[in-house]
Amino acid sequence: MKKTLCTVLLGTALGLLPSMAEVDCLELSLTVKHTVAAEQSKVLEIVSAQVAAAPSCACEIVKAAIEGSAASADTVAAIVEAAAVAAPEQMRLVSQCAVAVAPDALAKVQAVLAKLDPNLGDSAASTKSAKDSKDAKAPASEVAAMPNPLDFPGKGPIGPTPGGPGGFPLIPQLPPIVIFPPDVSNVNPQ
Amino acid sequence: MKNYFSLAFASLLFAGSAGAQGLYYVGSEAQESLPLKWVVGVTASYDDNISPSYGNEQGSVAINPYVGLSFVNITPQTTWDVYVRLGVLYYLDAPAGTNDLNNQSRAGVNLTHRFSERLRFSSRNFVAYELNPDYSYGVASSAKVGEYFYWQSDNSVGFRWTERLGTYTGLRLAGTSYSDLVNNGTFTWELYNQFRYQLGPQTVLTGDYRYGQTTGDGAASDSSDQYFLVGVEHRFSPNTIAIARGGIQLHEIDGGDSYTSPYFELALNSQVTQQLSVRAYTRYGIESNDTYQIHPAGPSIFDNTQTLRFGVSSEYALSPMMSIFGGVDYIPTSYAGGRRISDNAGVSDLSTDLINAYIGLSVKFNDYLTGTVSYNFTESSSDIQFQDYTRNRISIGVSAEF
Repeated sequence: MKKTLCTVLLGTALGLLPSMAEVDCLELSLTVKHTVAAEQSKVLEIVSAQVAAAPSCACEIVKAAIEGSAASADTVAAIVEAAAVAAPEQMRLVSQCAVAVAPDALAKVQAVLAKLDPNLGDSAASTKSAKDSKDAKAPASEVAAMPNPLDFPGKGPIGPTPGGPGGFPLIPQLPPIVIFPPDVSNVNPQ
Repeated sequence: MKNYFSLAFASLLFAGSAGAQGLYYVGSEAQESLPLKWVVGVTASYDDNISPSYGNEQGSVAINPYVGLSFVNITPQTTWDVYVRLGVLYYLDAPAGTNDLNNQSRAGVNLTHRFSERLRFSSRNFVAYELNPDYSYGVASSAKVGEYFYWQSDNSVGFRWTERLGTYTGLRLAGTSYSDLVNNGTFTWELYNQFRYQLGPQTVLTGDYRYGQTTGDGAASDSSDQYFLVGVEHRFSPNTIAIARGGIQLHEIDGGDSYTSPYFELALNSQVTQQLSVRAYTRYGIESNDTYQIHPAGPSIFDNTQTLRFGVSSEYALSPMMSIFGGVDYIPTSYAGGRRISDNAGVSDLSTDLINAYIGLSVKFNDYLTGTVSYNFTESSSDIQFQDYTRNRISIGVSAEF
């Protein structure tokens, strides 16, 4: 318990840094990752405290927590929920970040979003939604707004199909898998 | 060559159908895990020209049994993408001098390991040993006599230097060889570095430098290539993504001439509607494959082989149990810088236009069984001996997945 308290306090202290200086989200994410790895059972507390203290680093914190705890789909959903409650304005962002590192948890993350804000719609990124998001509330930190440049940009149902070079199936998947694109969401509902 | 550009872009704009691999690559990895899946199937086909680049046309019925497996495993840190398909193509009426039993097999292993948010390792590996080339892999520009063996291993390290800037630095190895031909094989190693700048949530700007050396088999030339490219990866919508890269290629023959060429590559992947998906690719540049050709003046090597590759493929789901698919590959190639092997005397330029089109219907009988019928048409128009031909193939097959 003592250790946990120290961990949370340490994390909170780190999270308060942005008020004193510009926070380095990457460094913070590494700290979160190591902390969560050491205290996996406290992952939700840590996420909640960190995101509340440094909402601009919510994306990195959530991703670090998921990776550090090798989270299952249920845990990913819980992490997203904890982060979204701590920083509601980052709800959409953290859901995208979570799915980026744990794509298997997409359905459960969507369920969390539907529960927390039924008007939010699906979390898939789109040109429109990204534009709206930018116009409405631009994330305070570049790292929160920017996905990893090592990845193909954006998220959506279209991507390389697994199973072959170029992402196309060597063994034909026929009839083709019909993808039902999610509705484009408005992140700034009136 | 301007006409090639116009045609390629016009086709891209108005494309409505298509279906296949390699150059369709849009630069990322598998997105979700798939359990181990086995496939066993057999295809019966009639081919009216089984050796299109060798002598007179002769048709034959063929049987193609195969077995395959694939799986994708994704964890937050590591992605495995494995697929294997082993098969043979047996011609019942193969003419004398033609193999009646041929390999038709491919395999691939792709791995991405993310050490951290900053550092990752990516490895993409592919091998094919087969008779009929898949033109969308960007290797073959015409059918050859006998089987060919092609392999490629692309290994890179990705590092995120800042929030917006990352790089991929890697080594690509590739080789081709033909069981029944000389002067056609190649081995290539290529070092590359790609800068990636995250312009926005939907856009990554890229800048590539590549340096590679190719060793040709027999009389084929050895050469080196440099590429200076800029490009963009963009998600137009959740359902449409594309990459585009273009720039300059410097192609230098060991102990010979140097050539400069524009180089570009495009790939597009779109789920147009819930039922319709479309993919397309285009690539243009100087290639080191297929430099050996039979010129009317005698067997020759062409050091400036400029090739445009364009492909579009599409699938349309008529119902949850039935779909149609089709596609076109168009590959015009100009062979310049030729020299006759026997005496190194210069020879005139040659050209080949190849069109490969296919259409098919597939029906899912139940959760395990799928039936497919397809028609494939290939036409090669060329002033190269044995490269002027048409070919028709009709296939019907059934496969089981479990």
